[in-house]
Amino acid sequence: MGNIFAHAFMIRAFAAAALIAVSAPCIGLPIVLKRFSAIGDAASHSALGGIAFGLLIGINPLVGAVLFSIAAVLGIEGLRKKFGAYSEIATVVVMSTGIGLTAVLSGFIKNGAANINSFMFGSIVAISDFELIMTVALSALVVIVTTLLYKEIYALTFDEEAAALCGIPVKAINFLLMLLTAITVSVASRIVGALMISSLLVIPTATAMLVAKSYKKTLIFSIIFAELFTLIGLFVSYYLNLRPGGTIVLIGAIALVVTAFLKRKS
Amino acid sequence: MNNLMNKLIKKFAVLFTAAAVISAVSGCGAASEKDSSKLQVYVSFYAMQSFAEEIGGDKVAVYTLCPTGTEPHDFEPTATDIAGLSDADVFIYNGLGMEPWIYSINDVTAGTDVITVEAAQAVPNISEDYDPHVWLDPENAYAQMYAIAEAFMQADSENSDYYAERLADCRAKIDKLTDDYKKAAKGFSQNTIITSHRAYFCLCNAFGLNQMAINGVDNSEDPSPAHMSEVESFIEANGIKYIFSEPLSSTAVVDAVASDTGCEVLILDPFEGSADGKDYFTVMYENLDALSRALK
Repeated sequence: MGNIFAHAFMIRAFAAAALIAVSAPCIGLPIVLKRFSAIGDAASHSALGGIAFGLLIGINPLVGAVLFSIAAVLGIEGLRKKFGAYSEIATVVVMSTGIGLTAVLSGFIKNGAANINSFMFGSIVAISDFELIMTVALSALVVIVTTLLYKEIYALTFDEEAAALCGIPVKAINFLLMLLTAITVSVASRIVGALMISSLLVIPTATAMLVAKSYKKTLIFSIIFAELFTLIGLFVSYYLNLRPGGTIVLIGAIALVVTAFLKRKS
Repeated sequence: MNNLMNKLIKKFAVLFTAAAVISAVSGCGAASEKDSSKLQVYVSFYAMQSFAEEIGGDKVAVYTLCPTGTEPHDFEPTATDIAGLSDADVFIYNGLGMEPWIYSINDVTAGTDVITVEAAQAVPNISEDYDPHVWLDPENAYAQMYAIAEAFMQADSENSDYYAERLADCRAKIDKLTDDYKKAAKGFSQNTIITSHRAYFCLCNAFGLNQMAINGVDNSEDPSPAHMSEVESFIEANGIKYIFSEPLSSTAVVDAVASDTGCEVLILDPFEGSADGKDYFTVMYENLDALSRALK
């Protein structure tokens, strides 16, 4: 077994995981507060379709994933308004469509299943240099934008109408937030897998909401939790010979349950 | 009035669409018209197709369920496949878990007069870890051809001599292939191959080689980090210069190992479905070239 950092792929894995653990909560907190946690799932399932599409027409699958999940979140925003109080229908419809597209498109590509699998369950051991650079760029974009628009996003997540009255361009910022969600989901799919991406968006945020009182503290705690879950998850999966994506998610889930339990006791 | 017209137009549109769909679907059925003068043979995937053609020649019409370019482990038969299968004379599959989807098919063929051949049942050299890719040992491949020939003779006794003659040709080709592999193996200076897919137990077993696989028998899931580390350490410790990928697999993991260790990637084809019309012998000789280059 030996030194966990003896090989370059493991260093790339840690780097990518650490980056995603910063960017995912930046998006995760606003979408959880907007009662929109399921959007990550919808986007990631559509991203799978994008991966199949990318392989089919011969572009980098990650680019396909980004395009499709952007289409998915925009589709959700569009459909949501049509259903009024039942707006969560939009998320489910888009998610089902994404799964359907994936199933149909993957039938057309050579060995679709293997490629789709690696995005479904994450493929952290096989991150190429290009993908790592893309992860750096996209994570940086997410962190910079959410930091610059910190106040606007904060206002908007609690009360859209009040935010609009204060002169915040609610529509534009919502759009931007959806865009960033799509990008984060596509990139993170490569690491923890599309089936588990929600966990990285939601579990650290949910855990942080149990311990922190303010928006800012919740954000900081959720980043700390996300880092802990992913890095511990990688260490554990390495030494116990487990699949990394699932290990990261399970550690997060256990931490969430333990935190909830401790909180009730105190 | 206008409103009524609109409604009527809508209804007609629905009807026309339905009619178009139905005719398109039935049209598909008609397009794959069968040549009923030949023995109707259904096979699960490419290796079985190649063996069936090797034996059956122009006396059989072979239909392959798993399309060219699709990994047989991951395939699911369509409704059309199942419908055609129930009219087949012979159905050939490998078995040993190669086609996990076979159970849904065995339900269809059970109770019909379709002669079913589970080709892996016939082979002499089976792997202890249930590697289903038994045909990569030439002797096993011959045994599978033999089982197929028997089924053809039973289903179409008129042409028994024809099948027997073609089987004898295969015997000669298999002997030459085995000889050429053994000759080449004498010149190998190493005996461990690093592969992406754990599919080469029988090949290695036949010619005194060892395989160290990055992925498992089912090639579609990534290795754990610990296993990947182990493989890379092994490559570095033994000065290995080449690793093997295969035509139908995603190359991301192999590429990562190659870039970490500075290895070159060669193709070793498990003969699952990369067709391009190549037969078993062509692919096995290409594999021999790759092995000779890596192990010299």
